[in-house]
Amino acid sequence: MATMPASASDLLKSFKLKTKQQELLIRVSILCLVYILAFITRLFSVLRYESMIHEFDPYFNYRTTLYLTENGFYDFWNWFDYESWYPLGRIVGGTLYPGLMVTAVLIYRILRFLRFAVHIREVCVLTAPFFASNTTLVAYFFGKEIWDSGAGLVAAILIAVCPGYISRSVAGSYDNEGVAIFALLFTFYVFVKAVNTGSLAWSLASAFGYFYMVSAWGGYVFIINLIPLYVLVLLITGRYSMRLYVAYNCMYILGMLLAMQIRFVGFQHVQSGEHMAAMGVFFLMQVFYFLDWVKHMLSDTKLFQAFLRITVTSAVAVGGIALGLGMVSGYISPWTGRFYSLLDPTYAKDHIPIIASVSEHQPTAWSSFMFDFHILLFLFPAGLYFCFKRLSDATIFIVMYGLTSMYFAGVMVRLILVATPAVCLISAIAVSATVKNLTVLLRSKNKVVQTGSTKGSGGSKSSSKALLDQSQPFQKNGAIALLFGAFYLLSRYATHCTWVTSEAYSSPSIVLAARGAHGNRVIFDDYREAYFWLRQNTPQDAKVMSWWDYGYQITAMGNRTVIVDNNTWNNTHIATVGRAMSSYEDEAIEIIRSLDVDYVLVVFGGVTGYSSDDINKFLWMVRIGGGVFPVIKEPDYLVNGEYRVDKGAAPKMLNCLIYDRARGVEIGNKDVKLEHLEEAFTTSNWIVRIYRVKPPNNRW
Amino acid sequence: MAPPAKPITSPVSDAWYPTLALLMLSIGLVVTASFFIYEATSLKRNRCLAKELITGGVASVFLGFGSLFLLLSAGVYV
Repeated sequence: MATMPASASDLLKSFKLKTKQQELLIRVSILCLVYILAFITRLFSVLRYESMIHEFDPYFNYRTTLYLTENGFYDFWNWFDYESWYPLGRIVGGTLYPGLMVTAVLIYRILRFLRFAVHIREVCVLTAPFFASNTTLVAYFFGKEIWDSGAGLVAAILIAVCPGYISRSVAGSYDNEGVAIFALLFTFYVFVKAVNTGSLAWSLASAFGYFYMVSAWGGYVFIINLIPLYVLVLLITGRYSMRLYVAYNCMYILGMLLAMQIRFVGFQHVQSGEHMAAMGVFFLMQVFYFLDWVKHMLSDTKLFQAFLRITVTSAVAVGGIALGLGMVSGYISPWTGRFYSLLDPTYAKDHIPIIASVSEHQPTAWSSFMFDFHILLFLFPAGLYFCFKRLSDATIFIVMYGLTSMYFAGVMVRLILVATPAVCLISAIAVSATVKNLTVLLRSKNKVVQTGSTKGSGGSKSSSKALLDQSQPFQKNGAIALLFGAFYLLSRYATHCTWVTSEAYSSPSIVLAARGAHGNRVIFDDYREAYFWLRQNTPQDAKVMSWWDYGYQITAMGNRTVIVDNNTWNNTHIATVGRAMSSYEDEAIEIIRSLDVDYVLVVFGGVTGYSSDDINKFLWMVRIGGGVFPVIKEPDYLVNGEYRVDKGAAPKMLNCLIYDRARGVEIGNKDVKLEHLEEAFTTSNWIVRIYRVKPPNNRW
Repeated sequence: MAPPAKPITSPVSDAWYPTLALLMLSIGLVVTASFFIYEATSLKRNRCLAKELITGGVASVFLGFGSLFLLLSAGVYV
């Protein structure tokens, strides 16, 4: 028990905190506030509309999560889904990444165990913001590892609000990326820690982090290529050490074995061309270790040089022959289309139209970069400069991660997400180092005068290298001005991010909002209206044909079998649907009957001016259909090379099925008569229209 | 026949809920911070068990009541 203070001033002094304690308090409170901020800034759509799942892909994830909660893990792992991709069905257990669903169900079970009676949908909606908060913590520790704790704090706050990350992790966006970015950053952090310390425990942790990443997202290929590239760069720059050897070997072998437990990945780590770099570097490491040992044994330098030359040539030759044999014999498969199009962006447009049709796979425009990164865009090169000034194993890693991810972000819009953690970390280094230098300037001359311009860079370890020799009066004022400028920039960044989140990234895209004639907000809930109609008014085993965008939502909310959905694993099947949509009604009805379809669902934007309806997607139906069935020729549907939907449209266009169904009686061909389909349901704003296939006549 | 039952009311009137929540949570957080700082920055030898226990206990009491009143004032009637 502390002794009773003798006087009031002693009492006060016992409450005053020492510097170390002050610093700890500031750091912990900043981290807590950043954690809470990262969570609540993603809740705009929950507050505005309601707590529901957004977009298309998350509905499939939600359906599988429901199945997992009801049936347990073994049934989920062995699930064969006959309700989608009729008549083929789909092996769900073997064709998905289970990490997200298993995580959500785990959280759900824990909350239930603590007697919080939550519904699984709430857990699914809020999983992404929760993991975003955890990502900020990992970013703090990563920044601390690379530079110092000040940079860690700035990195945490930058990544908490960065729009590039928010876009895929708002509440309701129940998709793999929400969890995957956390796993990515965690794996990278733990691996860098392992390389820095050389400890086996951290290497094991990085192997398990890699396993979690493989179970969560197909983008794990980025990790398994970046880490070997990083190791190669370290070897080339002469930074080989025992720590690197331990870290990489342990992570690669154990990580590979763990990754093979996921059925979707299977044996790809030893068979696929995309994973061969890791194996090559693994063997190279063994060669390095062997050479090191021989050098240690031999005392003669000349003999060692000769030996070195022989070994290196033979190792490279053996490796080349093995790789060549593997590729020629077909055992090692070449790079798949999705990843090959990252290296050659024009590949997808010519060969695989489905990949080219997804709007997220287009190359990025400059405006997207500015929109998603704001001031980080010019802080990134500044941070690179600082990293190069203080090169170590850790900073080399972050430089490589930043450069490679920025290249990929330029190739495909969707990959801005992967670049976001690197950009935030490097920019944090720039901000933290600049602010630290400026405050050192301010504090250096007069130690008695209070400075009061620190910005939370918490520097108990101040690395003040340059002491000021000249006492120029305006240097202090310049430093204060620059600090205010930095503060202003950061506050503009925060404002921009919040605005972007609120306006651009918080729409659930299944419920649409618009301004009515008198400026009031009108909510279009047509999609859900249509799906519930399907659920309640059609027979249990009805089959619905629509374009693949809506497949997941129809199975999840309408609970009916669909022909094709967003998984797009069977190009021919999708092409059949595309062909049906773009042919004359007589041809189309044959295809429809052969697929055993009962209902056709189309999206129509004519009344409301909804711009992303099926007519606008029509050209992709033609392209994809034409990719497999040469009967469909794209020029047939164009007029003078242009795509028009009004009276001046091409004749084939005017008569095809989708034109009848979608545009109906509004424009162009006004007297459309439907022989084989009849209208079953149209939603209140005319956005979704469902048609029933009439059974064939009884007699000729 | 049982005597007519009085309506069940809370010992603390519900106008006080938000104020009480704020007050208790802030006191609780301050004591938590003091406890945490004491733990993190003192050496193993200099620690005093009684001080740790008292600070921890006071902090948990205040935080517990604070979160109870927070939930009540937000409409979650636990």
